[in-house]
Amino acid sequence: MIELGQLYILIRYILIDFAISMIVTLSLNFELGIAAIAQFGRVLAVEIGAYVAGGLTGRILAYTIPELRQYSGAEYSNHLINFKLVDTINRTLLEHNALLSIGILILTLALAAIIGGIVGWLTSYPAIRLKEAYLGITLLAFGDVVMLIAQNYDPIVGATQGVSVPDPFRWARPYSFEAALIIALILAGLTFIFFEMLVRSPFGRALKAMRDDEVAAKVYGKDIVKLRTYALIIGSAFAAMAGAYYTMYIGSCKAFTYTRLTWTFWPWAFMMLGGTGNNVGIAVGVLIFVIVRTIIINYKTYLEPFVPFDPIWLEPMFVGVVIILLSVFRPQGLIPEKPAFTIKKRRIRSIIEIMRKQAS
Amino acid sequence: MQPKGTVGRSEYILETKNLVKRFGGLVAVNNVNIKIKRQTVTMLMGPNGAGKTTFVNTCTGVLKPDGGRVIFDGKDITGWPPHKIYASGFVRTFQIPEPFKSLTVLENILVAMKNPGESPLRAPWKRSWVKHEEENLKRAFSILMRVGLDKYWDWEAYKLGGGQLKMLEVARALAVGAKLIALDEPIGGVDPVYANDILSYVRRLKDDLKLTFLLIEHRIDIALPFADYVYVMDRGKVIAEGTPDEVANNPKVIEIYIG
Amino acid sequence: MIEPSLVYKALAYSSNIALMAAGITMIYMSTETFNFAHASKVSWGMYFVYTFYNFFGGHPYIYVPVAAILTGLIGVAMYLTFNRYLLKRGAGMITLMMSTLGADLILLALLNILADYLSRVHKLYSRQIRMEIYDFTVAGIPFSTLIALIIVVTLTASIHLFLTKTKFGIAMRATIENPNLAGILGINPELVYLTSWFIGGALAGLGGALLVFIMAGYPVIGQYLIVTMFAGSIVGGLYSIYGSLLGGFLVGLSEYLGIWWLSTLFGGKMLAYRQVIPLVAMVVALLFFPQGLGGIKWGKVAKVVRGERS
Repeated sequence: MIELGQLYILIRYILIDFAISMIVTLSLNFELGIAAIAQFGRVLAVEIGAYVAGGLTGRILAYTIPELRQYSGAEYSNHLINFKLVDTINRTLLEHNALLSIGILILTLALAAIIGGIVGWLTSYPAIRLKEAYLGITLLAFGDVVMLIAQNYDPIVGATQGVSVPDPFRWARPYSFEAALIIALILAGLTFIFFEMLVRSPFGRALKAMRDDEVAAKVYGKDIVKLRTYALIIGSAFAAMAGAYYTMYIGSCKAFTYTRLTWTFWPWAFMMLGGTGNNVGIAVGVLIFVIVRTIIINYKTYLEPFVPFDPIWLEPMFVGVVIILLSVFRPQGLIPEKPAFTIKKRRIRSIIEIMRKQAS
Repeated sequence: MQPKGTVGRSEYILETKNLVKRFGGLVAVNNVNIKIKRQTVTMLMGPNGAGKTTFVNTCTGVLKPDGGRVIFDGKDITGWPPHKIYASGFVRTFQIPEPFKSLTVLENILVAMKNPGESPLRAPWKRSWVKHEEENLKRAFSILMRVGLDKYWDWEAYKLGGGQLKMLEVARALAVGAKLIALDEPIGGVDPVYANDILSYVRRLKDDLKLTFLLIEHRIDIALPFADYVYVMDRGKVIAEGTPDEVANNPKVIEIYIG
Repeated sequence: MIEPSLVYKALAYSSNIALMAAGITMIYMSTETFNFAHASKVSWGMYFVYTFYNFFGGHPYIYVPVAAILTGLIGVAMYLTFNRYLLKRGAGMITLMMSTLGADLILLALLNILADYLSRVHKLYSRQIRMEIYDFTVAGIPFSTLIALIIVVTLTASIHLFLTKTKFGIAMRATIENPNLAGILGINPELVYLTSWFIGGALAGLGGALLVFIMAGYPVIGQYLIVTMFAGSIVGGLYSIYGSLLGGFLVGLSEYLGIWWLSTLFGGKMLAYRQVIPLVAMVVALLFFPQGLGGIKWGKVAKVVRGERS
């Protein structure tokens, strides 16, 4: 029997994991499902966002405190002093100031979005020149290179030791987790609404036209280079925000957390399960995976005595099997893409009824 | 002052000067000089493989020319990318329909029309583009009614049959509001009565909206009466031109069609 | 001065990368599938040698061919269980690639389960396997280097003979170049795809099995090496087995010697950036020489070098 308290904790984990994975997967879906860009380097923008939260926000805050100012440069991420710096920041600035904390949170997300957007813009260089798998592997390489550098070069986010991240949820103690969860859900909801609005706009329609038939899209006035670039900028900006938020919520930033497996391939699997091109499907896909993942992680101790291995490996096995089954039997996912109209269908009907009456 | 590349307004909307397109050793378009008068239906005729589609592809930027110039509406558009050529008022259809498969029939038309909501900055603010979109919608639907696709407006394009896709191609081009529309075999495989209907609609549009059409056909029978002026291509070259009557009685033309 | 032992290791490493890259190209050429599962197959190659040696004894080298055959069979299993259906459906490159990623996750999970099993039940130190001590020297040259080089050379020669002299080899080339033609010629393209999945898989396992004698192995080593393998295959131009052998060899060599050189210049800290070299090689190749080594018009280059105008 599960206790109520345990269940609550479990649901909390599921929901926050859901919210963050949702933002990443929605951004991936926008680039791949709508704009047909082979984004095999989702982790790139996510880790950039994480490094903004881990390496930039703290430095800015350290700079505002006179006695910490001297540490706001490269030595900020030295692991011997970093935890003290961040602790001071947390205690003196953030702990008792909810407004400032929220402000810092928003500032970090905004910075992550801007820098993530710039990274997205940079990746448009290969995205315009390469196709399909070739582009995918190039973007994958970009993500790996950046992680490799961050993992080894101290002044970014403290290399293998990592850095602590200023805690923008501390003011809500003892409900910090709840605060982080609620804000994450709000962000995920806003992201969902935003991408739905884009998909149901002439812009989204142009992207889908480009996806369906590039030559025809060009002939009908679509600037492919611009459309691809916009899609990459928007997608990367949101992925970076998700990375930044995740980092702030777990309170530390270690470069090796941001692997291509967790932040590129997992979102791909979520998207494939839910339905590529369909935001509602994405939500369903993410939810299913997150529930299964949390259950495996939380109940592996029960299974442990019965098997001669760590049950955690059942998770990649499950994801792998799902990916193969989906690609063979249901490439469109659980909830396939449906036509998304720019104007409400009812409104279209009423307009065309009037036109038909006039004609007859 | 004239903008760069401007040659000046003439009575011709499209003029090609010694246009050349090669594929390896094959010269698909060989020094083609074609002039299209404003507000006419000009026909480009010729057997399969004559280079008609390659000519259109080269004019509309889908292919880069290997030589010669394309002057459209007083501007030298040689080698421009397709979307810029579209923006300057020149669109074309595809011989083998290239619909946006996952979009509905209605959206296939709407996507071809200009809308400020295509800018990513304005896209999230529906109010900034919805009026425009509703105007587009009315125009698009009247065209759909005209070509007989209105019943299928909310079908995804991949569900349509071959003839319907042909009509979708034509409808999409008509919706743009372009000055010159190149129709690449718009009535191929369409039944003759319907084909006549479509072509007379094209002629009416030409007069009502002051449009110019370039009509590409390989058959000599149905389309010829609808043209004001005809060019005949064979193996990459223009071999004859003139009014429909002149061309129909030109021995060279008869020869390629028999031979 | 560079130590001879380092040169030997570099040669062995590059040869093994060349084998793996050739495997990727083999599968890509015939089925247009970028095979992510190559990563785990390499790791499996290592663990096959390790496991069999621990269970059955003898000399570990005798299990190298066994490992190659078994990973080849994994390739066959991948073809038969899903790749075949996707090819029939005409699935796009992205779907093909994604499905192999699914297979990679399964193989990775299974390998970790094996490693857990070996350590928990058989008390083996299986999370990091070290078999360098079983390597020996022949005429002063480490066997790991010798055998890797011999295999690469023999492979180059035998692939050439196989593709140009044997009936099936010629059929295979025809199928790869034009699947419709193969049908007309009475060749079963499925057999060709099956064979390339077998050979491709076997090359991955072979590379892994030989690699275990020069470096430590762990379950995710393939996921680290896959970038270098892809780089080799892409630098080789993706459409030529010889290109991939050469590309893999060059990428491996520049990675090994390049990082050695950088670390003598800037200190040992540079060693951590080792992977950057193949990544950069790959991106540069993709963006600037998309046809790879085979696609560069060497005649033209020679003319430019000689100062003539093309």
